[in-house]
Amino acid sequence: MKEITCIVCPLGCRILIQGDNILNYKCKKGLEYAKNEITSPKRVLTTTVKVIGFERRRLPVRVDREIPKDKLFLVLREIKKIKIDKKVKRGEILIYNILNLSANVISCETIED
Amino acid sequence: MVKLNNFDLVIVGGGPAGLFLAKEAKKKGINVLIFDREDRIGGILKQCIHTGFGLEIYGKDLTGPEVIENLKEEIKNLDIPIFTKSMCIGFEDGKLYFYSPKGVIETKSDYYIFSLGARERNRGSVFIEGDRPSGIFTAGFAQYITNILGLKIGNKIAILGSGDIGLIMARRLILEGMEVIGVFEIMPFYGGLPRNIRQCLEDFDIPLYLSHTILKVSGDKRLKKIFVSEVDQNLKPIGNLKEFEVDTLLLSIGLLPEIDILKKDSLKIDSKTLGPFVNQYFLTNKEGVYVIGNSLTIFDLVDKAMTSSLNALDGILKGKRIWNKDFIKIKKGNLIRNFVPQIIERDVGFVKIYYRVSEPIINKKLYLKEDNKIIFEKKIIAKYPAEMDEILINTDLIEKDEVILEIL
Repeated sequence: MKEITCIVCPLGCRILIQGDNILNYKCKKGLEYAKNEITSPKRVLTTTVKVIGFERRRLPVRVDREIPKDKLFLVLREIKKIKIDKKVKRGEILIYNILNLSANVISCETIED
Repeated sequence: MVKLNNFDLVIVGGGPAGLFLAKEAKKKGINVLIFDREDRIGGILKQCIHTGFGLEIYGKDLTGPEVIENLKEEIKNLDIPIFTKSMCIGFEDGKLYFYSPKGVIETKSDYYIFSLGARERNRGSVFIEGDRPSGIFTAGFAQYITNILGLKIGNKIAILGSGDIGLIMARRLILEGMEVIGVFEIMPFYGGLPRNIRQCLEDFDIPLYLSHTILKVSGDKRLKKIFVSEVDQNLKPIGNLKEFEVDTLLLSIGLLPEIDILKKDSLKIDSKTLGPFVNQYFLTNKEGVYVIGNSLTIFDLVDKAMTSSLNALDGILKGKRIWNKDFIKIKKGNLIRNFVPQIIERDVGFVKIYYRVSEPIINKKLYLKEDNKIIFEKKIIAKYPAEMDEILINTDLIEKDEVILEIL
């Protein structure tokens, strides 16, 4: 029997994996997380990118859906190529379908001034 | 001096708790004004670029900046004046003073809300002997340098304390290309949320050293070495010192509610939360003064710091400016670390109590008792000190002046 800590929400349920059975999960998302964790673990990636010509120096960005855990550093390398030199809206897509992983890189903040 | 005396409510601190309360208060017709000392509102959430926020309020797993963007959007059309770059410098005779780009501002209103957030414990709080080189940061300040300023804090990092900020920073620094050699925790259990142990440490194979602490540091200009010792059950160092070569040390050793501006006179402080004593409306013993968010007590989740502030709004809507003379005091019992509120009014129906346990609890029972009469009981399957739990108790059942909250 293997125990994994669910990271879907701050409750941090301890989900049990027994052969093909997944036990002790408390919601649908938890079950899905546990399934993924066995086959291909996925994570949300957040970071910041450079801002030029505004008072603030960095813009926080994220992927809009989870990406495979083993691709985190490759995706990060792509994201670091972004430079923001004009106004941007929260939720605006900065990179479409990054590395063909079906996830977009989006802005977490609005920069207007 | 600019005088602003025509507001019902002045909120000091435009972080998540202050902004959330301002929005809800304005919707109820309360004329509200916000002051914030920074150039951008949002408080510490601006630098919390990881996800894990907003699940309760927005039903989505958001980053800190996204929660602030949501709040900004919600208050945009509510016509709430916000004074940024305005630092609270004094509170005298029921008047608040701010230092702002418009000069000194004086405000007087019936109700004040302080949502000032928290400060980090630093090296002085844990007594690490040795040199005083550069390269030793509190974890939250390192987060500011990394996420807001976009600067690199070092190359080879050690982290003291396994609180959530330290765990989040461990992952963050790894992703930014730094090396994190380990997290050292003096207690036999970790301080952060289980999910952060999983996704911040285990995901990146960062070792967690429980029952270990850093006794000494050395380095001429920049930090060069830390000296680590294992500790026994009484937290006393045992065995030989182990040396680790690092150029940076992050301290993630806890937060303290920030209420200095109120402390200098008669504010009653709770020695357990280190925030103010409050009743169920989060009203302090100072007339018209409410304290919410992390300046009241350290919350585990931002959502809770925000929604719990509605207690203060409830008090304001009921016109509460001072404590009732007759109240019930809650005493801290077995395995309880702290709780708010510390006092409650009599016969007011159901009241929510937020509490933390003092060590990991497995299969025990929480009680609120009056002598031997049980007012409330609840089974606790598993609870960590990092989590804050909440219970609803019926004040109508309480007859005495004192009740005790305990786990057996």
